[in-house]
Amino acid sequence: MIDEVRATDDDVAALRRALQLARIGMFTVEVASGTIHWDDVMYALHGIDRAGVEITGESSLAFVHPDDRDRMVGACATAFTDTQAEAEYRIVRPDGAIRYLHATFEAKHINDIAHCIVVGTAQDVTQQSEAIAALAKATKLATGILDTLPDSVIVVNYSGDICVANARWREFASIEERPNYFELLREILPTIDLDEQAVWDAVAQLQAGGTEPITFEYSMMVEGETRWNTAQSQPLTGSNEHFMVVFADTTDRRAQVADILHSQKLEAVGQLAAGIAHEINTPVQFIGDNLRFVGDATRSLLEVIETCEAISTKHTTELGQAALADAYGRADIDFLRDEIPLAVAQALGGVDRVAAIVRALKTFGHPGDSEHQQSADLNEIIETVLVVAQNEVKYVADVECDLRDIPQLHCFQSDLNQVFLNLIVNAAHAVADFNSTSADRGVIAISTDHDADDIVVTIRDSGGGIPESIQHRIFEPFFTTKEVGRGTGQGLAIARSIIVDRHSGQISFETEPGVGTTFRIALPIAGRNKEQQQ
Amino acid sequence: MIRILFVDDETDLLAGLRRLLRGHRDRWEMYFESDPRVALETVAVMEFDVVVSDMRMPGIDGAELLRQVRNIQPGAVRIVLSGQAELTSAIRSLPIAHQFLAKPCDSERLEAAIERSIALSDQLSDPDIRRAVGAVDALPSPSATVLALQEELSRIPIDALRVAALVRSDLAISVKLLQIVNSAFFGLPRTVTDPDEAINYLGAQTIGDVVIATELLKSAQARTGSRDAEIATLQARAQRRADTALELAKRCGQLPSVARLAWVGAFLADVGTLLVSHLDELPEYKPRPALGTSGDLASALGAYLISIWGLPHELVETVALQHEVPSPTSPTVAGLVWAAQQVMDDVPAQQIFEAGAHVLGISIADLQSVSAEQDVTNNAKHHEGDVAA
Repeated sequence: MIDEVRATDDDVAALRRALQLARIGMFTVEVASGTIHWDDVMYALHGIDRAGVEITGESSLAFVHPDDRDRMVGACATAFTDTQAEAEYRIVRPDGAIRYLHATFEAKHINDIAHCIVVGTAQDVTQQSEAIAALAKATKLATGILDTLPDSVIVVNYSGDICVANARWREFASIEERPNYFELLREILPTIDLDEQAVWDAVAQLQAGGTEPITFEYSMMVEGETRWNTAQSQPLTGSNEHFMVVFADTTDRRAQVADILHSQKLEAVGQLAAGIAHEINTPVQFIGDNLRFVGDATRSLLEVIETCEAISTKHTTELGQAALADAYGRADIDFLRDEIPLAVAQALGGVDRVAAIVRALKTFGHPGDSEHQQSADLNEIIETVLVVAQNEVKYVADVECDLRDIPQLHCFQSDLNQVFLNLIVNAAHAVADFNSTSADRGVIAISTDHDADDIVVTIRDSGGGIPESIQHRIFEPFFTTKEVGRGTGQGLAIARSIIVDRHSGQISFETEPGVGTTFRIALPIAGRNKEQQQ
Repeated sequence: MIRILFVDDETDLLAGLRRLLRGHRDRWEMYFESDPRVALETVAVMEFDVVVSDMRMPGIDGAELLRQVRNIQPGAVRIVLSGQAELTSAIRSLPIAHQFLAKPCDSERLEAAIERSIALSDQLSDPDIRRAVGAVDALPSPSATVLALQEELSRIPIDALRVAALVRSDLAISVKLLQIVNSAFFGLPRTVTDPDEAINYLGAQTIGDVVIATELLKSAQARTGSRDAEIATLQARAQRRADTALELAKRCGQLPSVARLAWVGAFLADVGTLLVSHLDELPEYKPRPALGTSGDLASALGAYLISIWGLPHELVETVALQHEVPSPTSPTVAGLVWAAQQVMDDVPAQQIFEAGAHVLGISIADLQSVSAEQDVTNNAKHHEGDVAA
């Protein structure tokens, strides 16, 4: 091109000056002789003085950073095939400073080897390169921070386009599939428990420049589990056309809070139960005393009546006998004779039940010593738990107990109370769910037995069984299939920890869909202490 | 007639008891009082064999009422009948009540508690002695044991096995634990005769509470060194007798449960001796009647004490009959304790056998070898003593 335009010498001089002012170096390489010409700028760029230095192909290459030499030579070679090429490479100045050069190469007279030359320019781009590298580093850091967050984070512009999404979000929904947040909302909102209008109002508020963060809490089903989430939207700092949404899974935290509340509630109930126990025990005492008295007194009265009867047949006039018979008839004396003792016995049975319930409540209310082991009878523990769990159990299942003679167990009794309460209530729930559409009652069978080493407790229910897909997860903390409010998902995890960690025992289960589940607990008779001693 | 006072702020409850217990009116003279203040006025002017009181009452609560009853009439057996059916409240009332019943309490249990309280009182003709025993809330333990126990109990976590080892060696604490574990507050369906079992049931925490409630440390600190040594010697002797009785029981083929009961019975046999020496020490117990060293009186006192404390009948019987020569109709365990004591007193085997051991099925050879084993142990103990000295 330049050849054709025929530039004047003045033009060339002006161009050189312009290049010098722009600090752009020029060089030529005569291919046949290998001679290299640098202009003043080139020398300056390389940090050397022109006087007494002869630049050769070899010496010019020596300036190039060893890692970048291939790239530079490669670009030069490309110029021969493509006429033009460019490359960015580092040079090392004699003082050790590293500079980034951006060079262009143009090959001329390629077909005439005697006149073939390469003309090039070089420019110091160190500042730009460093800035770009720093930018890349900062971007990587920011992305790293975003991707490390346990929450899903997206940045959305006012049209709803998702501009940034962190790794956690991409796991959940790829941007390619769901590039627009508003479309996603339109799709998802009808399926979760959120007021759609409230969400759109919030979006409008953000678009209108609202600065207050807006938080929504909602639950949704993920792989058959209820997960609780919060979504917090707020304007992106430093931008007036984006807002950021952070989605956090709060299921575990909710479970922990629920657990704390639950234990506090239990404690309060326990204190109340102890106080109420005192109030109930006093009337129970005198109801029982009076009933026994009535029973004894009735027996005495009936004896008196029998004596009267005997006397009257011998010593009374017919008129007298008739009057007596009439009085007996009106009082239905035979009925009274049979029924009063029964009535008293049944009422006393009721009193015993009240007393048993109060005792059981008290045991649970005052869990007692949780730091030291005590001797306890597992059969008694199970019977107490059954009294406490009666309300959960008795409307859905019949309880079959086969409690054999077992040795005393050295154990943390209040912990075992909790284990068996959890397992029995779980069994009741399983049976209730399985029979929810019919009026059938299920069965909960509890057995205790022992061998030389262990006491073995089994709790079998006739519920629907545990689906295979979740069998491996049931002992995980917070894992629950129950609807909110019915379970914290802590029950089996706690049971496992109490049995295995606190008592060196084992807990396992067998389950068959449609038939039921059997939990089996083995507790070493020797106890944990003795095992540790050995 | 046995005179019993029932105190409860619920008049309905008193009326119920009055009706329920009416069948006993030929043997029991019963008084029912709903106002604890009036009850105390009554106690001031009338002697009672047994006082049964509620714990929570307006004005004067059960603990205060029974404390005053103890001061006015220490000879009256004090029973708590409380609706606060918790172990902690039983432990709180340990120093002032002999037995603890929990509401609701059926008539059999109540009758048994009252009968137990008065069963042995006829044998103690001296009302002064009855009063003295009635005022005792705890027996003394050697201060070394109490200090070691305090130290163990202040550890975190408590080493239950070491606590058990200390308690097991101590007569006074063993008796106290048997009292608690057999009380209705603890709610066991059966009686516990074995201190080891009591330790297991109660747990280290409760044992700690008992030690605090009975102020064992305070009484141990107030004691002279020679008195302390006396108690320690007595305990060591009780342990030796217990081991000897166990060995004899095993040799004559008794069931393990009987052998174990023989161990406990022989261990507790000295409860009367410990009690007598304790009474001698009490400042308020004056003038001292000649308690003397008669084994029969000591065992009668001991049996009376553990009886009003509600310990199981088998143990009371063993303590009471420990000096009786075995006969075909007398209890086996008491016989084993008698034989163990004979061996310890170095009575010749032939003589023990002829006197009564043959009734128990113990042979002369058994007696000889047990006696020889004991000599070996004694010598070993003696040498240990030399080394320590």
